[in-house]
Amino acid sequence: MSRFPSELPFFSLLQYAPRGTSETSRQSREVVHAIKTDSNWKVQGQTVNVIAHAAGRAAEAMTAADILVPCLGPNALLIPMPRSSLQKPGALWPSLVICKALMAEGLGADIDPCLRRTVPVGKAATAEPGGRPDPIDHDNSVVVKKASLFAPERIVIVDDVITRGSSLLGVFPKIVEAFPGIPLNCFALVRTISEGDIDAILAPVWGVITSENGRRLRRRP
Amino acid sequence: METLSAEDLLGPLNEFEAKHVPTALYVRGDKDILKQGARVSIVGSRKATPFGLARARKLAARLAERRSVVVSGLAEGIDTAAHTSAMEYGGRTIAVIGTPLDQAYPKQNRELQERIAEEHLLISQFAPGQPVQRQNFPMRNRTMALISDATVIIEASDSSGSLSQGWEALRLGRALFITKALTENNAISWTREMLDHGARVLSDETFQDFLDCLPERSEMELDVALPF
Repeated sequence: MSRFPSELPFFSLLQYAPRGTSETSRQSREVVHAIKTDSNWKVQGQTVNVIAHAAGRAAEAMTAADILVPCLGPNALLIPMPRSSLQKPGALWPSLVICKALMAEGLGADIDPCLRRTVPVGKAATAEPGGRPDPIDHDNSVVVKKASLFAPERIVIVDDVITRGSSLLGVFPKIVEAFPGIPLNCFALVRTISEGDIDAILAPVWGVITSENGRRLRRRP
Repeated sequence: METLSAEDLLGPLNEFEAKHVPTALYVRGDKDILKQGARVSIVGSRKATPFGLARARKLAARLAERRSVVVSGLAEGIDTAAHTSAMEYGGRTIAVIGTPLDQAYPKQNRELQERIAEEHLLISQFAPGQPVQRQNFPMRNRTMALISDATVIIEASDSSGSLSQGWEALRLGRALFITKALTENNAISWTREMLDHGARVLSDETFQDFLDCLPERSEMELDVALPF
């Protein structure tokens, strides 16, 4: 039996088009760069943290009538996805910054940065299709070191950008082992639209990652 | 010369960027260079090989052609090659120096420093008259990482100051690229550790990935609402 589920739902808030040519696509790349570098923008004379702004949008989305099942919420333990590389203490960790911003919006009960990368894996966003890390590579490269004293009501794994969903699917088994019986959701702030243009950057949606034994990954939408 | 804060010059900083930020920056030249185009540091050895100098010149030329800004430290070797090639190809360049603006190191780059101050942008975190000390240069390298969207290390030994810039770029979550030739050099030991911590290899095959990770900075976004 596979360690990986054949279907893994996820919620994502924004979308970006790495190769699109429209103005919205271009702006989406600037937004993703700002998220990856935790940038503050000066907008109409005011300093706006792009991740904090997105977290505010996430809070709006969680209460929207067409989102039937909220992904995030005040009873959720947020677990940031580790970077694909090893990380020195004190270095920027975008998923952790996102977790803190979600907490500030009341979308989490606590944060447990318990997933640690012990071996670097290739970056999905820049790897050729054949060279992208599979879920098994992620599974083999992470450990869970729990800090939470009490069992959470539910867990949300928080990632910055989802491409195929390999990393979310890959860390799923070890989180389930570490938190048996706890309901688990996945949240990606941004999803990649690999081909063509997008009409809007804000596009909250539930999606699903499907796989066959951790291979032949497909992400919809 | 103007005296500015890093936020005056670069916009609002996050907590990681603020950690090592200099209290003041002394600036001569065209500050508008900072408003448009990705900023890429090209750094490496003072005693560079002919191959390293050629790589620095070629990379600076490619960046100049796509209207990116070449950032370097005005030292001899790789830095000088990067600045001069960017200017030769009609690009813009920023020199971040480890001396006060009223001094030049090395002295043979005084003329180049003056040209960059008049036609491009010259930055120092050291007040005029302040003595030049050895620790100025790694401090300057951290500032250069802060100013740059990406850093490329062309050539560097195990004791090179470029390494402090590389680690600072990684700490800030900025892109760090190391030339393929460096990663294939068994005589140096730091490349493997940096690659494990998020640096990437720069080669003909990965050059498009390198360009893709650069922001398309435009002045417009400073005055409009966030696009989502």
